[in-house]
Amino acid sequence: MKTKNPLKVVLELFSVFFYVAIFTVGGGIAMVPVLERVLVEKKNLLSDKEFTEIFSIAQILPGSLMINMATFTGYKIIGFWGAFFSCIAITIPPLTIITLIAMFYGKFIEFALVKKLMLGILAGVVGEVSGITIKMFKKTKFDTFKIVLLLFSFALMFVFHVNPIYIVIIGSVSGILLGKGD
Amino acid sequence: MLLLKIFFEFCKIGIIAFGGGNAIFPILHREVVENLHWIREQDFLYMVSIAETTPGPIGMNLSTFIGYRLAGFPGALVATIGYDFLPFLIMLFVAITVVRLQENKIYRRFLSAVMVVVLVLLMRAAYLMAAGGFHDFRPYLLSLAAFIAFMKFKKLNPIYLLIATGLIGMIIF
Repeated sequence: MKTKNPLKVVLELFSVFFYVAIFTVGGGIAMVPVLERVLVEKKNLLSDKEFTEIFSIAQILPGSLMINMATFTGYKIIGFWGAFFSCIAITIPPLTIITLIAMFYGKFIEFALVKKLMLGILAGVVGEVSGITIKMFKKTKFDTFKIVLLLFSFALMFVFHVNPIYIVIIGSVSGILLGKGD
Repeated sequence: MLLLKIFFEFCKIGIIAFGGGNAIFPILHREVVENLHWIREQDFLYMVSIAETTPGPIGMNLSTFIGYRLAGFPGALVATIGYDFLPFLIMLFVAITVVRLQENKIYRRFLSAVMVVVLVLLMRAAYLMAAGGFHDFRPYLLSLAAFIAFMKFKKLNPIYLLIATGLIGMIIF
């Protein structure tokens, strides 16, 4: 996969991120299952492990998940221009759609049918995100430390409603101190 | 120089927008409604409702919308680029660093723990989307169907699945 023509790879990334952006409903997380299938399983541009790494790091940095994932994925696969053009690709569709809506001042979104379409896509996204969560769960090699961390983070998030950023900090510090790193 | 001001303002908003999605609303509201008086309250709420139901990251959509309202298409463009600019640079810097750290023990430990936390973040994302957008049992059923299809048909491009659930949504909702 390293022998591919770089220009071709950049174009491939551009087209993937472009059409993924069109279907990202309900926030950047919607693109994760799609990217996983396309980049890992279909095109073999990333390994499972690399994808999980990209997603995890992108998730804990500031900025929108989409921009972060496009930047990291593009850089990892082909370097700076991959990052740059992936970002351009995911920016064009939302920019165009919102500009059009702003121009016509919301006549479009009043259509009940569009709302139903979007809700249908959102339902699909929730199903796919659940699927990818289970897939990543299965791929994780759980040891005692990771099980405790999982339960602890889960409790902090859903029982005590702690801001996710603190859970990430607690998790990473305890990982550096106590984890095995595999 | 309104355009320049829009650009820097959205650079600032982009960098303090942590956690993505809904975390951005209070920050944007404070900046563009309360501090800068760029957008009126009811317009802001309207924009939020549109940003939530159109494709694209919510923060980026809102930036585009507000930028357009302030200065037309050039405003939309600089607001969007501004919003993405610093996260892009930070992510690029981190990516450059991290690809050189693959064998580093501390990084490996850090990463394997973060991956566990990210599982919980994914659960939260699915939960928030469902809790915020689903008003009766039908979307839950559709989600369940999408979940089963996603797990069962490994070759299926998830985009087609989303198109299908979108079309079904137009019929059953």
